[in-house]
Amino acid sequence: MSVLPPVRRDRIVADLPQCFKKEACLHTRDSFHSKVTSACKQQRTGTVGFRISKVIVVGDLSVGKTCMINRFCKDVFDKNYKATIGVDFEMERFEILGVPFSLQLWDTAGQERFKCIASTYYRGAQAIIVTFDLSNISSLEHTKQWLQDALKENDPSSVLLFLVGSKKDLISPSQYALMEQDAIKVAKEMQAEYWSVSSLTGENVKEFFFRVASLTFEASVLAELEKTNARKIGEVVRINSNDRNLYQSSKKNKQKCCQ
Amino acid sequence: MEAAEVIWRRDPSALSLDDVYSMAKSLGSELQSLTEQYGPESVAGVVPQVVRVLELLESFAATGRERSCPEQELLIRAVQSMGREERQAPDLEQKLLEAQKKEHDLQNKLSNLTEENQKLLGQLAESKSQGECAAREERDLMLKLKVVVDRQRDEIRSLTRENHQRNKDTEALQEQLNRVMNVNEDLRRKVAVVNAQLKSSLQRKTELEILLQEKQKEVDSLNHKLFASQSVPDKNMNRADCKSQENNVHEESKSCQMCFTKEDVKQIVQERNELKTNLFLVNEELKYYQRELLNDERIPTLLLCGIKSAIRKQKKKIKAKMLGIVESPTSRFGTWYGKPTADPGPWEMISSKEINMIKKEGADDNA
Repeated sequence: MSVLPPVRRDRIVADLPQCFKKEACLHTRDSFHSKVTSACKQQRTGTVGFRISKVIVVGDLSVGKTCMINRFCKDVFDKNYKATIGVDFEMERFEILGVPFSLQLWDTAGQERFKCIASTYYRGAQAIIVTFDLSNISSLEHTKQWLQDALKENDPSSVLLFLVGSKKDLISPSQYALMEQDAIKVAKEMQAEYWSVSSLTGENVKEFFFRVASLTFEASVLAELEKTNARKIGEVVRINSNDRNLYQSSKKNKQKCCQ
Repeated sequence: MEAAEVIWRRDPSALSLDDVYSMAKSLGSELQSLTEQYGPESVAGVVPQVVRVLELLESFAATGRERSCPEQELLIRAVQSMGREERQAPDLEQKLLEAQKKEHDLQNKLSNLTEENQKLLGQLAESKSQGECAAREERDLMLKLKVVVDRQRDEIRSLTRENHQRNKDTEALQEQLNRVMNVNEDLRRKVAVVNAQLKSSLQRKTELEILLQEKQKEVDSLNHKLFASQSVPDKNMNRADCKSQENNVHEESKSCQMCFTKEDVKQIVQERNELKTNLFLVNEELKYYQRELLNDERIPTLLLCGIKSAIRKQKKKIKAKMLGIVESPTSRFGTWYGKPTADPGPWEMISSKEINMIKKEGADDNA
């Protein structure tokens, strides 16, 4: 029983979308974690509820953060530049392995003067999408700073990182190849998954957000399962601690034997 | 020997040099035979005398021929007179005359011939000189031609060389042209790119200007509002005065309140986010009801009320999650300025107990 109606048919995910480049991705498994699939099958993820993951999109001004989100959520592209004031967001609803799941995409302003406002929205993100312009090398260089700022408000161990090059349609394949090398290097350094997209043509945009949604979903389910199982595990640990004592004593005995 | 005898009998006037030599010859041979017979002493005394006589005879015969013309006439006359007398040799005289005539004719002919010969020789020389002249001319012509040919050959050679050079130059120029064309193309492309960039930046500029104007307008209107609210407490004041005062204050403060403060923008953004969240939830709710209508499911009123209540409750939670704030029943200002203290987390589990509670609430409401 949900307040929300069923999601659009083209937002249903049954299999894990694959990464873009094997050299720079979060993991290369070709399907969802077995724990997640089984939990979803048994409907252990909760009968009623509104699962929502917060994703923040950061990066230099005019790299195309808003355009990328608009292409995915509204399937439109506006050639005119309109600076985002402070922060904006879009909701996108998915159904992953039969479970409704919402992605809240926070589109932050790239302009320096709005940074103080935008940064207050960094907190509590499950995924950070650091965006740069493929036709502008300096925007790639700035991604590290953006990530650093975003991670100040978040737990670096649990948050998923994505490095996205936009405006792929603006550069030639040879230029792109060079840029990609640098970008993959940066992505490896920040342990992020690398993608390149074009909001103008729509290339890879859908694939990218589906990957984000799926990985975020997977991570959330795993975290939840860990939390709910923690108590049970605690009990098991208690027993184990006894076992360990036994083991240790037997070990001592063994040593004695050897002597 | 008969000829020798004729010579010895010859007339002295008709004696020629050859006759004298033949006489000497015969005398010589006679003297030879005498020396052979009687020794050389026998003729020693005779020989110089004979030689002298023969010399005299020779000179006589030589001079006699030159003097012969007048003497001949005299002789002819004497002979003719003697001939009349003796009439012994008329035929001879006649023959002599004839021979003389013939000789004369022959001499004439000879002179004619020599003249002719002279003429012919002259002609020959002339023609010879003419031929030489032609040959020389021809040679001159040949030489001239040779000079011309040489000059032309040199010219042709130099022209070919020049042509070769020109060809090389042309090739080099062609290459240069190609290079320049490439550079040109490059530059054109760059210009096009720069133009495009310029255009886009111009467009951006105009957009920013428009944005600025809008902002300015907003600022103005906010200022207006601010002064309006300030003037509200002074209800006792005259309206016109209030307005004029407001205008004054407005103008004064316009210069110092051109921009939004950070708090203003934060507030606006927060309000916008809240409105957007509400819009999203209302939209989704609308869709939900639409679906129910389309499915034509008959839901008991009891359950429907429960659902409504559940939705209300959920909506609050979702809204709080979406805005990243603590659920608060207080006014919006509380949510705006209250820092989000607790992280609501990505998951919301609603237990079956809760559902039952919701249902109960619905039932209570209905009752």
